[in-house]
Amino acid sequence: MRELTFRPRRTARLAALLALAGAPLTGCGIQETAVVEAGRPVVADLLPPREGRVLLFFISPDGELLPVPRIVERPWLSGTAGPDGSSAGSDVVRGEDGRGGTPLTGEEMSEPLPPLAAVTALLAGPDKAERRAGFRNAPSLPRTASADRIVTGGPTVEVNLKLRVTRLTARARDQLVCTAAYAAHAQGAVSVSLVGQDGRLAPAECPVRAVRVPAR
Amino acid sequence: MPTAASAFGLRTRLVLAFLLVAAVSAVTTAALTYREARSAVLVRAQDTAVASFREEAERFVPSLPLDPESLRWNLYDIAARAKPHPWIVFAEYGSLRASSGDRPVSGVLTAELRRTAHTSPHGTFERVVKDGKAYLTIGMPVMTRVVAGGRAVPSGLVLFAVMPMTNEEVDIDALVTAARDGALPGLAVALVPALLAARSVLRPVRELRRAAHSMGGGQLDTRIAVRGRDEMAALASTFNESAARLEHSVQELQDAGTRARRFASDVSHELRTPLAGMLAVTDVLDEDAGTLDPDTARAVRLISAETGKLAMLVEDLMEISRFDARAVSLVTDEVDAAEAVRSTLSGRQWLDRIRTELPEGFRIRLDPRRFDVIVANLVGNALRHGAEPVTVRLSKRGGALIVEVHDNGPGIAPDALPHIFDRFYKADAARARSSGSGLGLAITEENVRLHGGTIHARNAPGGGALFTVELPFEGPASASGAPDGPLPAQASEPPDSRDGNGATA
Repeated sequence: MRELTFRPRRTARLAALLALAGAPLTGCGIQETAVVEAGRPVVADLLPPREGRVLLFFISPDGELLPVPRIVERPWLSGTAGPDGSSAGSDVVRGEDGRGGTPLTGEEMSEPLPPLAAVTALLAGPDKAERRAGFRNAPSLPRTASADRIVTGGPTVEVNLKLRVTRLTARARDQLVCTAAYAAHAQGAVSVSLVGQDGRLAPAECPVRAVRVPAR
Repeated sequence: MPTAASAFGLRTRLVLAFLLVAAVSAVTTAALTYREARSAVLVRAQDTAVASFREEAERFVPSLPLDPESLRWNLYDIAARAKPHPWIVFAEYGSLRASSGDRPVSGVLTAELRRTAHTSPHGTFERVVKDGKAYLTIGMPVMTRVVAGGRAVPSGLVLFAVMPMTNEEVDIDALVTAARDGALPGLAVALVPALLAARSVLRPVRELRRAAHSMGGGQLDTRIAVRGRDEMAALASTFNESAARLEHSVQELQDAGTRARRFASDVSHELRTPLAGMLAVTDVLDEDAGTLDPDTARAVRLISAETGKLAMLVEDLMEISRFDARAVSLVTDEVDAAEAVRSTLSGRQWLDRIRTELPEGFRIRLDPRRFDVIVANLVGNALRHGAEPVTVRLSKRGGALIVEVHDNGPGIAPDALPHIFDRFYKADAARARSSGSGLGLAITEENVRLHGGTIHARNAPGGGALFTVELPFEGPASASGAPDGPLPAQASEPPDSRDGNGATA
């Protein structure tokens, strides 16, 4: 009699056991997963090297601040050095900082382009290919503006601009700061102070930090 | 009350339990193995794909290409070196979309993967099942080193690879098939030990049952062979011990009973010889009593009467002893029942005191001497303890002769009825010194049983005690012809006796 009342519980226990054993089988085949992190990203050298390009920070279609390398036609790269060659790159490089305007000598060939050239190029806006890829300047950055002078050396880079810096949006300031920072320092690790017609902004650092990535 | 589970026999349940255990272990093992194997297959494919995709991407995307054409050529190169399976490569850079396939944008890539690839500084993958097919999708953000070999910044270029996992699906399906094909024969094989185990358990159980049955049938010397040292062996040895103890107790009881009966028999035998001498003396004394003075004469008569009673008691005791020892035999003869009753009554000069209803023609096979004892004891009992008129009535019911003896006394006390046939039972404590030996009804009952009949006592509706004897016409031959054979287990009061007696009363 005791055993008879005991059996249903035992049956239930056996069923539970079977279900437990069969549980791993639920879902044969390949299951979907969530997004899983899998190691480091693709890391590539930014080509051409620093001497042959400027790094301009434009706004991507997603609203992100992205570095866009622009190859600079430099006279010595075309094999003709001298005043003629410097005029070929004159739309990019202006001599206002008192250095870029001087004729380039053989020793200066490996020097990176001066920050003024980068800022000037940035203010000129994305070129055709860059526009096709969806890059643009922040709307508050006037196309007519230009840079006067960039003082490097010391912990802070000072960028003198012919515009009202206080009217710039945060994005526009970041564009200027990052472009100037990466032009002045290989890894952009300097503060940049924007000086405009209406005053001077506090020194800021580029929000796009170069980070150490694991070796392959 | 019995459930479905108890409807199965022990063997079925054992085999089922065995198979269940086998099934659980087989399924568990197969399931765990399958999981591990599947996980290994998938992890290997994923790891290979992610690593080789990263490697190829680093080889073929050295810079940030703004030109869709050159980007597409790079993607072709990556796609051509797909590993482990062919994949389609997609690239997103700004608003540029390019792929190595027909369409620049994949329908398999999830928004989640794209968002993660655009924001996280890690390679990521996601398995996607679309339209029943599994794909491995990999997202690889490209970071560019601003200084060769130095630190890097996110470039905004993200590469995706979509790899159908067809081969893995085939491999995993093969795993399922292998697990199933392995588990089912395993279960079939498990049936063999299950049956063997059930048999090894059931054999002792069957032996035990047979032994218990045999003991219940009276064979107290039944024993079970004890094999091994398991629980079944322990049960068997316990059974054997219990059986031995039971046999011993029963033997002791039988011995005690035998000794008691032999003692009664011996005592009565030993008493008979001196009693015979005493009876002879008391007869002489009785004759001479008249010549003695009155006091002495009364004492002599008392001695004589008591000696006679003692002799009767000893005779009855010896008769009972013979019944107990089964040392009685029937000497049957076919007689007329009415004739036999009349001869009994006349032999004791009771014919004029007793009313009789004795229809002629009841021929019955019985032992006339014992029938005489039956009738004489019942009538004597009625005359002694009841009151006249006493009626003896013969009738017939079924295959049996009914002898009824009815008196008009006070009847039998209800609490005395069940014991009326016990030895030395006095229905009335006040009548402790009655003229009977106290064995008359017991001897009557033994004699009735010897004939294969039954006897009942009850109070008649009109008052007085009514004794009813039923004797089969064919005689005792069918029931207990052999005197030494066991007496038929006749209930002295079968359940229908009251109805039967009520009908004849």
